[in-house]
Amino acid sequence: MMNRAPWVVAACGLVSVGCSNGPSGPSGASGGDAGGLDGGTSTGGPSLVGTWDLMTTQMGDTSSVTTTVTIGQDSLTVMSPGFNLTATRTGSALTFTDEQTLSEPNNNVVLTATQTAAAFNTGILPFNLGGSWTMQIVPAGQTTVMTCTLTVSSTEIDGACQKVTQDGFDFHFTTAKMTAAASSLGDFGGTWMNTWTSGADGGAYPCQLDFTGNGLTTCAGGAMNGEITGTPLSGITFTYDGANTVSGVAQGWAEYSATRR
Amino acid sequence: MSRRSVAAAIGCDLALVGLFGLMACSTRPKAAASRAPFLSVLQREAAADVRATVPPGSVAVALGGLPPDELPRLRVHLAESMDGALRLAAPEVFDLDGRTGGGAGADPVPKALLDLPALTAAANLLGSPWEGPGISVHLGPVCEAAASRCTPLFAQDGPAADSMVRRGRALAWALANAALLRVLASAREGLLHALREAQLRPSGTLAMVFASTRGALDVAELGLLRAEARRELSQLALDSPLRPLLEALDAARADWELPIALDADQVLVIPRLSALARLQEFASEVESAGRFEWVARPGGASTGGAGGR
Repeated sequence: MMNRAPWVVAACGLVSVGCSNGPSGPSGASGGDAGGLDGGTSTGGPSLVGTWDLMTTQMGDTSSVTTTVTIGQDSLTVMSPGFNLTATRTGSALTFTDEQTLSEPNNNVVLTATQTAAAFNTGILPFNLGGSWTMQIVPAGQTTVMTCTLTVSSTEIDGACQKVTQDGFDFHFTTAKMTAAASSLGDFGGTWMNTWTSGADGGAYPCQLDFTGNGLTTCAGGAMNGEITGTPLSGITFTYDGANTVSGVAQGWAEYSATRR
Repeated sequence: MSRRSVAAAIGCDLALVGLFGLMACSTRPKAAASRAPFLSVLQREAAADVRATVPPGSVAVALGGLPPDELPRLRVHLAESMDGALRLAAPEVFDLDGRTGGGAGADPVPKALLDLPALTAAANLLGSPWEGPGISVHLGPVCEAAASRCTPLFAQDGPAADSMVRRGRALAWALANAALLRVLASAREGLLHALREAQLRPSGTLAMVFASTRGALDVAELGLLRAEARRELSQLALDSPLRPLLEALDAARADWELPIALDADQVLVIPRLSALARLQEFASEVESAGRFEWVARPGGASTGGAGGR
């Protein structure tokens, strides 16, 4: 986790700013038009579909790691020195495969998700996210260790996971939009209040998320040594320059930048 | 990977997914003209694993590019951070009455990490040749004969640049996106003071500031920093991710030198890796620090104009 968090944030950031103009999932539920249900508007911007060289820094190591991120409509591939990750969509089903240790498929973890679509303008996001989701997380050679639910609307994004076996864990979060703002991310645009509740310690951790323009800033904080002690959403910044570069910070200290080939 | 880290990774992934000129460049190598240095971009066999290494001397360059006060401050922050980390790791030893419970108000990020942008930038600054998937980028006084592309280091390629040039400049990001300024002697001190204040802002865009090609750190202060690094290394687990940083600090030498030569009236400002998508903001932050003439202005604007307040 320690090594993965910065690029996960960066990869998600890459995805979040632009695989396409006007996402249209198979259900057609996501609107590609500017303007959200509560007044959020899309600032538009060029597509970010393509192959990106992502550089990330790591704790205690001032050198950087280069990861290749390939983004397509409804697809994402991440190839890093330590792991590979692939997300593909077929119909209403999303498959997310995390090859945690290269050449050791026994360590793979697969997340499968099924969507019941509803309206949500993701702006330039390539994924049809709106509606409700059910998910199962299955490590290779095992049965389901966790089940999750996620609901995405223009005013509320909530999720919860429950462990099925001792290899899983519990958490849930709520995210309420407080004010809308213009953003290349459509209905994401604005200020949200996320409250992350950990099943491990029962603590509730609020975190404000600000999506505006081509950027994202979350509450202050971060993680040390890969150990998340509060909300995993703290200490994230993300900026897209509107052309071929994205950059920001993850975990409050780890820097990243990506350039499109 | 531990069960917790697997679970945390999945949780984080779920949460995040859920929420969310070629004018200066030729396509063939050419002889160096008047704008050395150059970046030569060479094609090479694609490598699956591309990992930069920390060049020797990068810690000294980082500290040389930070305000002079930062060297003793780093030592203090290092000591405080390590004590904090130990307390977090073993709270029962420190009788903290539950104050380290990881609550929302806890700040687990050590202050010493505030200097990481400079350390990261310095590692890249000295990293020639830079290696990426399928390409290698070399800094030199002339274009290399084997280069597929060659571009002046301080060219303004802009967003429409050839893909290989763009990738090459991204690999050499610290120098390729640097601001190069020409400063009158009368304005120099004030400008440097303002730039060094700006580079310590947590949300700022500046990583390092150089007013000369080479220099030397305060040997006594460096000795204290190295001693602190050694002390903490002795207390740290062998597999701690902080060890490489502390070992690099312990091995730091006093002398530093940039890979390019600055004129006596020039100042070089290096951006943070995290600011590469905010180069206009970087240029504005530099511009607001004082009066100077742009030699190279990152972010696509033309060079040669006057900057500053």
